[in-house]
Amino acid sequence: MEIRPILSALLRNRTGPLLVALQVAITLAVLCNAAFIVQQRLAKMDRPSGYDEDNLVTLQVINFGRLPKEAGLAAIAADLGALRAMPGVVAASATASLPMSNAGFGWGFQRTADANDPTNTSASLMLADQYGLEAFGLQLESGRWFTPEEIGTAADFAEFGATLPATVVISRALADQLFPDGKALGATVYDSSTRAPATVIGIVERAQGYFVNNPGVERSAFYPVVIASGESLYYVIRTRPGERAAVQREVESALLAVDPRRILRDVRSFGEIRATAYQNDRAMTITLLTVIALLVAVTVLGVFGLMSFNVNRRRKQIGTRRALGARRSDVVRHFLLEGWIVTTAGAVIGVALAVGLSVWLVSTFDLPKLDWRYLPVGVLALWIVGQLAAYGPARRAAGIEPATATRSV
Amino acid sequence: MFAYHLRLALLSLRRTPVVSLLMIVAVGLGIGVCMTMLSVYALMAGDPIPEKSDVLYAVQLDNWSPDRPFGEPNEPPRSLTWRDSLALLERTPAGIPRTVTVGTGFVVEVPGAQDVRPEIVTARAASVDFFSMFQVPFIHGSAWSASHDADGAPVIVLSRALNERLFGGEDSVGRELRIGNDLLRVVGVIDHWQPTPRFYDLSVGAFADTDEAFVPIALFDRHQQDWGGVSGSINCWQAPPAEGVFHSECVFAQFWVELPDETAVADYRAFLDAYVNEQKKLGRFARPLNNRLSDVNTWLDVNEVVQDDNSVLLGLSFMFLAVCLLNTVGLLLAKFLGRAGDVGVRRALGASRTRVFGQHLVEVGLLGALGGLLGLALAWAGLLGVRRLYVDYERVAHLNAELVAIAVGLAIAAGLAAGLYPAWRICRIQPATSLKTQ
Amino acid sequence: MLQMKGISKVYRADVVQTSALRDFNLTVDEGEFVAVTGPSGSGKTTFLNIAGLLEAFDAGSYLLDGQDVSRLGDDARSRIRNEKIGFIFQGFNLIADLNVFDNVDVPLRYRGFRAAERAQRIQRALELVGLASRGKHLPSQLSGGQQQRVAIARALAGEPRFLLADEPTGNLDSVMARQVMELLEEINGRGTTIIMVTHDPELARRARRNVHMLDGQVTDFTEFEAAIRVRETRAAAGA
Ligand SMILES: Nc1ncnc2c1ncn2[C@@H]1O[C@H](COP(=O)(O)OP(=O)(O)OP(=O)(O)O)[C@@H](O)[C@H]1O
Ligand SMILES: [Mg+2]
Repeated sequence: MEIRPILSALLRNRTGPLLVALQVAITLAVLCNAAFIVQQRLAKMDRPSGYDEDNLVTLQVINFGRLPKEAGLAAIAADLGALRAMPGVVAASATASLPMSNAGFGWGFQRTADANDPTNTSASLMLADQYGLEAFGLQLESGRWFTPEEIGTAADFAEFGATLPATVVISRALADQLFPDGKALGATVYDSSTRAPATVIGIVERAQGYFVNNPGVERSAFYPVVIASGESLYYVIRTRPGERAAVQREVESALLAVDPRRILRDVRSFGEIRATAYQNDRAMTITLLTVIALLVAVTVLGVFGLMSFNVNRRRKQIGTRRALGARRSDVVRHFLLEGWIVTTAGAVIGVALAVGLSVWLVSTFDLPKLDWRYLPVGVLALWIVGQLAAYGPARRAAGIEPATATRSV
Repeated sequence: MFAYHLRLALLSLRRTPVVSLLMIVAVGLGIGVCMTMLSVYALMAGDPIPEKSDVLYAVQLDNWSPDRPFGEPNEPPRSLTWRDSLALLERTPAGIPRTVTVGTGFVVEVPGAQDVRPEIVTARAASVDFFSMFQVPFIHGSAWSASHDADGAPVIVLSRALNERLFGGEDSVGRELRIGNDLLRVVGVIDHWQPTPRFYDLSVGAFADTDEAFVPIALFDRHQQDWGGVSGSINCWQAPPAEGVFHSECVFAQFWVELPDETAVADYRAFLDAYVNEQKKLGRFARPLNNRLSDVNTWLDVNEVVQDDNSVLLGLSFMFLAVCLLNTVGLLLAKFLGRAGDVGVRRALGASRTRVFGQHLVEVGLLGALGGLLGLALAWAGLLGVRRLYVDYERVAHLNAELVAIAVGLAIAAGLAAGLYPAWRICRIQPATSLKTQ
Repeated sequence: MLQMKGISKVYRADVVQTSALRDFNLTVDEGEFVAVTGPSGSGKTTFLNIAGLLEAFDAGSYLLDGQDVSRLGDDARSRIRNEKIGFIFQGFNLIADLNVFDNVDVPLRYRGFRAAERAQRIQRALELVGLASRGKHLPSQLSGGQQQRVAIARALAGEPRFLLADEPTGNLDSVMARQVMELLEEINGRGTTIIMVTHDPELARRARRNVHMLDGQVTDFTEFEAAIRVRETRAAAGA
């Protein structure tokens, strides 16, 4: 309605509004960028892993010294038998490392045996036995999982490295990367260091690898191998829905009953592994949300403070306006408009600042570029909170009696 | 005069409790958030061994694949192969302290003790200079003798905590421990020692606990197969041979030297180049010469100990502080100018401009001090939160005297930054105008 | 035009009650120029506030233009103020942050006129008070008399039928006071009803009708003078 006179009045006492506009500007810049980072982290944490996370229990077994090959294999078979006999257990499997655990083998695969094959692709390599598919709860998309006969055994990692298996199951993401033409199943892939070939016998829909912070986390491969030595031995146990907690409680005593002379470590649900894997992202998200909330609160206080101050300073003026025929709603509108102008001025500076901040984040920290849609949403959000903050003082202004015009000094 | 000004300031706080509270909260929040982020950042970016950080150097050699670098652009691996470590350990010129170290782990038992359960300990194989180079404090005994590095004598150094668990904290020098089939003799117990970040081996996290036991490198080498092997990251660019990673081009060992000055550094560079060139002749080190010597702080940078997230948060928290300060400036200005009339009267009654300025500066200082206190409390709470959010930062996220001093300084600076302008504005009020106008 | 019967107004503070108007009766006809005089605290401003719908009253009836205004809601009262009544304040009450043009514009904005119409009215009102060339000035850049003339222009711009002035010359020297008075007379000459509160007997005498107030009531002039004399004698006797 009357932007120009309000604007000129604001410009006449510009320090206060300018300070608030700057607050709004910085708030917008931080808000947009922080919200963008939060959204990305949430999306990252929200990625499905491909495992039946709700029903998995995992643990590590540490023997007192290294076991000979035959004894090691027998011990693992005995353990898996005991685990499968536990009530509530659906499947149990032995492996050498756990997905999403931030530790494991990074492996290279390529389509040919050439030394410099450009299709060389890194992936998380996991070792699995015939129970792996069921124990992890993986979804087989095509092909098949390993048969018991295919499971190779190795005394230790050194032996494993020297005798790689001839079959492999890979994740859809790895299949897409290696075979953009879509003909992965049945194809031969080569280990990029020894160039040993393996036939892709199955493709799982999804199986996240070891390092969730690695962009290639979706690319993974399973070799049908069990390592006997116990150098690095993990059991993965899948339970019936709702029985995970009970199995998790009982699993240690069940295994120690098989053989007490060893250490069982990190009996964890998959939820705990996930929580550890995404600890930094979760912390970053929570911290950023806290900062956003505090920032918006402080800015709301800033707008509120400025408007309250303006209302107090202009009591007589407001009374005069009322005496000259302003309705209460006119007065409310006047102050809301004033608040809006200040917020908008701040938002204009803020958009530039937000882009600048994003450029800095992109160039210094390799973060992705700010999605421009965050800017209008941020401006809208600040408009709304700005108006809410201005509403209280505006209402108070509307309560000023017209007689103030003649009475107050 | 100060007392009078202080009384006026207190009076003013009480007269406008809401606005005063808002200002204190704004300053407090700003400082609290900033301090929290700064504490985490400062400890991450902190110098773990300030007396020697510029003379200790981490060694990198580039034995990586001829086809591609370890990291872009042309970064050498961050650890060494076992064979290069042992070779450098032996051949580093006399008089230069040097150590090779690698993380491991094993199960220890106290022979004959019924009440002490065997336990798995995180251990470290090291050569003897480790203790003197890194200033490791001993409470009992000492490091093993230099000859044990080579002869592989079965000796062990315990951490204070492990000594407490295994031997109830008594002087256990001379006692024996069983690891696998070997009996190891305790030669020393070190006092609490926790360099933060744990610069000497960053491969399992920069804020990992220090190890619980230390064994000589030759002893560890002898038990490659039957102890726990390497704990830490092992990186390979080709599959290790059947004999295992200790005989491969896989890297996992840390190598440090102590070099007192520039010439020593230059000499050592030359030594490394000579070593690599010699190895090239044997068909290793296919890449161009790319050896690195990094002092402690450079090493922390190379390993990106300060995570990007923390830098981002620190930056954002300073922007947050800026918003809080702008807020406070606005409120102070409003408050001060709201009593322009009062000030006009004071000026008319003979208060000098400096007096008025002083009066308001005292008030600002009081607000800043209260805000700073609140900020300190909030930072303390914030760090509590950080410790809950990041398990790794358990030890990192603490307030110490230095940080409290920074907080106080920040509060004063913030208070002044926020208060100077309003105080200056108000002291320029003309005695006449304020009395005349309505 | 204006008809007040038995109006009373009581101010209640925490402990004290002040009866500002007691059984106040007054009728003003269309086109009159009424000067209201009376000692300080006699209720003149209170009367103006009620007449101008700035304040509610406690008892009595008030017909403005034949309309009973005692029951109107706040918005309706605002509208009457805006359309029918012009107000000139003792302290001018110009909005310091707005220039002369924008100050005169204030009531017109609330009236909802189009921009062209507003500009035209503002121009005319400023011409009437002889300040047409000062539109861009801020109140602080004008003399007291000029400020009051701006206030008058603001009151006139909406062409109200009814002008209320609370000591419009109170802050002015006698020359300026006379100028303002002449302006008011001119306006009255065009048919606008004016009620003016003043302390200045000379100005009051120039009005067509004088109303004297004492203790919240209308008295006639002689009674007023007699009361003063009685007080003075008492004071003299006491001394
Ligand atoms: N808001 C108020 N609260 C309490 N009492 C009030 C209030 N406003 C006015 N009064 C009292 O009402 C009485 C009439 O006041 P009013 O302002 O009408 O006097 P006045 O005739 O205009 O005096 P002056 O010539 O000094 O302006 C006075 O006694 C005054 O103290
Ligand atoms: Mg009065």
